[in-house]
Amino acid sequence: LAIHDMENQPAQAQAGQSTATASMGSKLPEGQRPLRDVVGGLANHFLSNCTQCGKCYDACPMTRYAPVLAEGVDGPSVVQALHAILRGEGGSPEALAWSSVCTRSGLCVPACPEKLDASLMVRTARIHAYGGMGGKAELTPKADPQYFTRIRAFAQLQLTAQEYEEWMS
Amino acid sequence: VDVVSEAFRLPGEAATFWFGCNVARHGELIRLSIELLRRVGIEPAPVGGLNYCCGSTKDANLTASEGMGRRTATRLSLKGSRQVVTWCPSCYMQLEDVISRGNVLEFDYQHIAETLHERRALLQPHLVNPVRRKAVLHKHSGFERRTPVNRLVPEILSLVPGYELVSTGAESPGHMCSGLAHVPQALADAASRSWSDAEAAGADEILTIFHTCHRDLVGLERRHPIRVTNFVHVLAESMGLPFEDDYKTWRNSVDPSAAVGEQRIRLVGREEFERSVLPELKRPNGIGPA
Repeated sequence: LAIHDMENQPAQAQAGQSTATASMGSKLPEGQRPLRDVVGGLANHFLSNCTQCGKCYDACPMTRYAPVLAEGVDGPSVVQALHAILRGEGGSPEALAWSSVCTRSGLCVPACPEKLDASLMVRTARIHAYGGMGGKAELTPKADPQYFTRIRAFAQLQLTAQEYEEWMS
Repeated sequence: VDVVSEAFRLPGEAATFWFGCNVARHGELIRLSIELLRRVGIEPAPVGGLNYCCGSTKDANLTASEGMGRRTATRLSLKGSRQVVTWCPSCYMQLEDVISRGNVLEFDYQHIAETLHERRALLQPHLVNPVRRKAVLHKHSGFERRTPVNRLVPEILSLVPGYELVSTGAESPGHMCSGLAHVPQALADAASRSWSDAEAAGADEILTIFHTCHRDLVGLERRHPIRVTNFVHVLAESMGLPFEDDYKTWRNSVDPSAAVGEQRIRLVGREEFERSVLPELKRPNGIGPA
């Protein structure tokens, strides 16, 4: 039941513009951190520790689903461009494509010689690319306006009124 | 019992069963999971749905994600149980990767496959009815480093008399099928892989671990001589617990509205049913090779 604590250092202790600005004005109870601080802290962690060797890219089973990542794209250059996304500088078409086809297979994690959670690095970049950290959105998430409505409707079909009330309230 | 995690040591100890959101499409999976947990000495308090959403779908809106994660962490903490048993791998991963980094969790958490595996010696006496089928395991790679479900589930099901589970073949990417849905062709490839594995193994069943895989694969039954079953269903069969896989019935019906029935549709409202439910039930089934 261990809760992994790999990169979970206080955001204030980590360098990085996104982290420094995101937490301004926030007042949270002890132990709570703004999510932008968390994501900014993760970005800083990966920028500081990833060597851009590209082994994570090479291990990715999803690159074949992005035409721009077909033959001839080398891993280190894609990861280098992914770092640019993490810095809020925007990414290359290849780096954006890679982050968009990531399905969190996790195969990149054991491939990393620095033992970084490369899957989380790509996800952190995708959050930036979505504009989640306040910058320009370079990727558009798949929108499903009925997502929550559908969950509620199926629950009403499947559960008894008592189950719905006791479990979902 | 081989080794039971410290927080789960006491039989009959209360635990929160955080089943997630989308598994509410499969009410029987929730009910059967509750019963399985009871049989291994845990008294679960089930919670889920939108009020306990992890926020993992809100990566483009961190304000929403933060609020949902914090709300859920707080509510799970306030439930008072020191342990939370999870069902959904997305919720587990969001809790571990995101929510735990910005919130204080006053509980430990464990995926239900690990809970059942740890306590499988308590489960075994209940697995009395033979389930004489041969199945292939539908596998993904993405959750393995958190909880090795591709090993744990076969080891649990090895206790079911007569059940033959083949675990060969490659793992599909992602942590479950819903994670593939945003990449064109990836979901169809995963379904094709499972069908091919089943055909090659001479199996009559594809066994799913997670709910979204079950949701997306049940349609294979319309086009192939194969049965799609969740691992919880198999355990329930062996235990003699009655259940109906309504979602599969609805999804594979030529007339989903009739299969659901007017009485249930009235609970949602006809307009809402046709807007949010029917399109999913009518979605082309049988992904994979014809």
